[in-house]
Amino acid sequence: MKRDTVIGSSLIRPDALAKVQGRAPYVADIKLEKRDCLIGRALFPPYAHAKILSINTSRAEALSGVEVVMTAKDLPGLNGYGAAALDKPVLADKIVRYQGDPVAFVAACDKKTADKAVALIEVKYEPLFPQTDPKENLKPETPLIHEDHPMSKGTNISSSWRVERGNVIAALSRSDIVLENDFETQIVDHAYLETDSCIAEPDPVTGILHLITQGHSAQLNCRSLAAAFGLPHSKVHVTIPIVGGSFGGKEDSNLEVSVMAGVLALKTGKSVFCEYTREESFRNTGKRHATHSHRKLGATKEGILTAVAADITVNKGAYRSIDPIPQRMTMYGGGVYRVPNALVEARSVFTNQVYGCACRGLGVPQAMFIIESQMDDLARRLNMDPVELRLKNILRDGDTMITGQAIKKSQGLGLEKCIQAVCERIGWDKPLEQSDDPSIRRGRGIATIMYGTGTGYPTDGAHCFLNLQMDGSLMVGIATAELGQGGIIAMTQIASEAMGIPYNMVSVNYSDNHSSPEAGATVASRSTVFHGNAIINGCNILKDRMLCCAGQILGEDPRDLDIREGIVYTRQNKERSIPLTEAIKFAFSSQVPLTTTGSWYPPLNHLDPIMGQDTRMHTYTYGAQAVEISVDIGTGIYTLDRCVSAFDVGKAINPMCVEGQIEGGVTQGIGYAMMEKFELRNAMAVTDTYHTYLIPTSMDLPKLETILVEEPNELGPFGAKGIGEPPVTAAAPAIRNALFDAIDIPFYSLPITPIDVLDAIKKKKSPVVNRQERAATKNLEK
Amino acid sequence: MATVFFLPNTVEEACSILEEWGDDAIITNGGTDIVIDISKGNLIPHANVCIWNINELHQIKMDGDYVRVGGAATYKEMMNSSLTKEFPGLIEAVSQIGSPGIRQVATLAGNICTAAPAADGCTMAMGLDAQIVLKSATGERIVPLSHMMIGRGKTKRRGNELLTAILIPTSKKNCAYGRLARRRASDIAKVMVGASLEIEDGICTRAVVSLGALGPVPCRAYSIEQKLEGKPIRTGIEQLRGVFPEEAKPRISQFKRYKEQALPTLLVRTLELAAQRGGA
Repeated sequence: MKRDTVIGSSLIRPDALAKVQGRAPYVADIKLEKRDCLIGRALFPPYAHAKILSINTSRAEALSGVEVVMTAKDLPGLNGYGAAALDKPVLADKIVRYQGDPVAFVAACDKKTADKAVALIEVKYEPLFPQTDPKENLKPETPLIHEDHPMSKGTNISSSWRVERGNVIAALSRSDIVLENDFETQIVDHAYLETDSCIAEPDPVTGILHLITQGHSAQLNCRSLAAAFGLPHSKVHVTIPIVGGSFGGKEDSNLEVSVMAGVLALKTGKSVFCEYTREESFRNTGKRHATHSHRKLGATKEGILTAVAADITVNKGAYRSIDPIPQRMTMYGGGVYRVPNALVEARSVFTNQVYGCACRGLGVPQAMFIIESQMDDLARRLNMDPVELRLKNILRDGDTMITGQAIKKSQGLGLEKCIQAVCERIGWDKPLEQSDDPSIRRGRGIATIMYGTGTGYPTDGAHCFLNLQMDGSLMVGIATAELGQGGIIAMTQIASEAMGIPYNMVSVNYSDNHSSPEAGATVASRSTVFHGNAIINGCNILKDRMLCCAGQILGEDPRDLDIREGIVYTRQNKERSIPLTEAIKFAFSSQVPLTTTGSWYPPLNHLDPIMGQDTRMHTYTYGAQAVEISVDIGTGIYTLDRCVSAFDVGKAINPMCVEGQIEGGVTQGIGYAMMEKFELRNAMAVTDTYHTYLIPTSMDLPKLETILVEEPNELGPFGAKGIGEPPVTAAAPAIRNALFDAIDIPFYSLPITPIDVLDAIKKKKSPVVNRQERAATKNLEK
Repeated sequence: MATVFFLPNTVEEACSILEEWGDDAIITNGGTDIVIDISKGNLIPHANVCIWNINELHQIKMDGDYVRVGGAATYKEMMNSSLTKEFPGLIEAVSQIGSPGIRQVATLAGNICTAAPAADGCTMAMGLDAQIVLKSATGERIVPLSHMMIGRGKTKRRGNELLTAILIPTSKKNCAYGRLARRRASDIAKVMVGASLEIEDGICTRAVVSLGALGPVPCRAYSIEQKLEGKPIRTGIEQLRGVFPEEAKPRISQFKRYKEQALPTLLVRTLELAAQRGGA
């Protein structure tokens, strides 16, 4: 029998055509089909920090067309919700902690009326000083942002982590070279195309509240909101249609509109639709955390890393949201290198501004910018090629990270291959061609990264419901959300291969908490590996059952049988076969169940929380990125001429989707490096439109050159590793290092805009020369 | 309050509506600026006169020593016209405005009447010493674009007047446009320079230089023009290296320093390009 496999095949995603043709229904499209749906709108405060003295809603309530006006006193359940802590008030009660805290909700017949009603609500505030500096907020005399936070008692610290290994102080004092730098990274927005929206529908028969919303996990939405609705989890039914981009943001940011729609629906007994405007989405929803890091890096004069010491402060914003940022920034504190001595400490601190949430890469883009920038500083100090320095220090089979975790080749270790691949493609060994234009300086830079698959928590694992049909097709109930990453097609391909049926016989039912088991969220670059493995496990259970049935029909030992393309066949004699449907019918009539749950867990993480020593991720995706840039020293405007990326993905289940993930991630990384910055004045958003908040356009990008490296992960489905987030992490340091190469100026904060570049050039005392000119000068001196 | 909407088919019709409504009317065409204000509720006009349907105003044609760009001609129409294509700086300016979608409907006339500080089309047209034709039911007058704008959002157009054409002197074809923005497309530039040079035997006989995003509205850099006129063009440009035009008055903002640092470079580069096009 032909051994065709769909694994590694770029099958076209089922959602692709519908999206291109505008037929794929997003939440706001589904709303168009709903009649008599009320529109919910919220009143937001004109301050980032204020006491609420009084609220008068009478004029709003009197307006014709207004169904209800709600304030904190009118809520059906707990006045708190959230993904990690129920610390975000549904409606601000006595205090507003940032400009996105709603003070009142209105439900009305249409948006115009609702907005009019919102404008009629009278609120008296006593403005308070917006506490926006995390370092100030760490001081004991500074007032608490949360007087009674469910998790952070008596402190403004949201979360903290430390990793300690060896003896840093001694190692640094013995090091030939110690670099010491401060790094700043900025707040950025996810810039998802679909603004936050939700339809809430109370079910008068069952008492269930249906939410058609966005998110990374229907179960997580339910868990985060049920207490605010005063409902058991079983009565909050969440479905997530395809999502118009999220990048981590809608893991919890969309809960804002969901809780609003939900409480208004419960209050009115009617369907309610809530949708943020673009400005509201910018102002209110979570962002990538801003960070400040002080970092020391020690090395021998031969360029062997000896020690790293770093102190990192993360601006948390007003609520906890998703906050493993200190943990991630510390665990990756040594980068992709062997560093025998380390002390990396980080904490996130509450402030009166928009909260930091999950954002593609979860702290790792910040960490890699710092680490990889400092590596190039070290290379410069040593007068060593940046690639040579990296190859001397990268993690190899059996080496340990600063967390003490040993890196195993068996779980896929393609780091060196990625570095080699990008160097070969970009021609690292050849001199970079310079421009004839006297105002142009050209440069080349590289960065290397690693990124774990999974959350690393002991709770991490995945499950799915499998439901084999009488015609040999398979229904897969899975918690994965389709955020545009290609989750449906990847799961389809894995199920098809594992069950031995054509892929068009697989139907994936995604993102419905009533038809899929709790299985963690579509985050942490984990779905392909975790859910994929759970599907394989479930398919193996069903397959064993069907092979036993087929064995009885064929008179063969089930261990000699296999299934391909919906045919059960004998391995030794492929002529002896029956259609899978025969085995299924036999099973059905013999009371053998056609359904099962599939499960998978990664190896348990053994954690030492004091020293931060653990084995947090079972596998890591590795990558390298090399870029070429041209800098106009007269204007500071620089052009990305080439961008070559190689990522070791273990096994690309669907290479086209993997390349799509890489190109999208790299583009976001380029935006992070070159232009994106969410700005606030007195803690109030300034950049709340796409007019002021710039993201790259296709005109800003070179052709993105992508290389897939496949070093199989023995624990992954068909060898796969995660690829959702790793691509976003390398661009910023690679571009920064290319600038350093081109104009001999190191940057230590992001983004690096033409404005920053020109300013640095103007401040520079010596002429602006690139690497080759520097080398020529050095030779002359010799 | 309801807005009365008019869609005239002729200039005469439009002028008579404006005669009646005057300052209570707004004139719209592509609506790329004004619709934002309307949709945000910042502007609630009594009357909206949309001039899109006035076919004659879409025309771009010769008019004596001028190319006459109609008051409803879109950037796209300018980019496609063989007459405006002869002004390379003008095409450089209008082809970098907004996005293809914006250029499909936005007009140079709208750009001028909006009187925004950072207006590519308006800045370059000023660098071509364009003249503005304002027509009302009672007559027509011509105002130099350099005198048209009197402040942010304010022009010399009277409430009863319609901007029917922008006249571009054919003597200004040696022109160039430079802009500096933070990204390649769909971004408002932070520094804009338009220039046209008339050169005879290597001597600059006439220079027109305009600046955008460096004050409340685009302005002429007369001090620079004076330094160029009557001199060999290369010498003239050379002595401008590092010169910051006195007419540029960037307001206090996070971009002020950048404007100060980058303007001298962009000015010289734009002049060099125009000179090169003039065969010098």
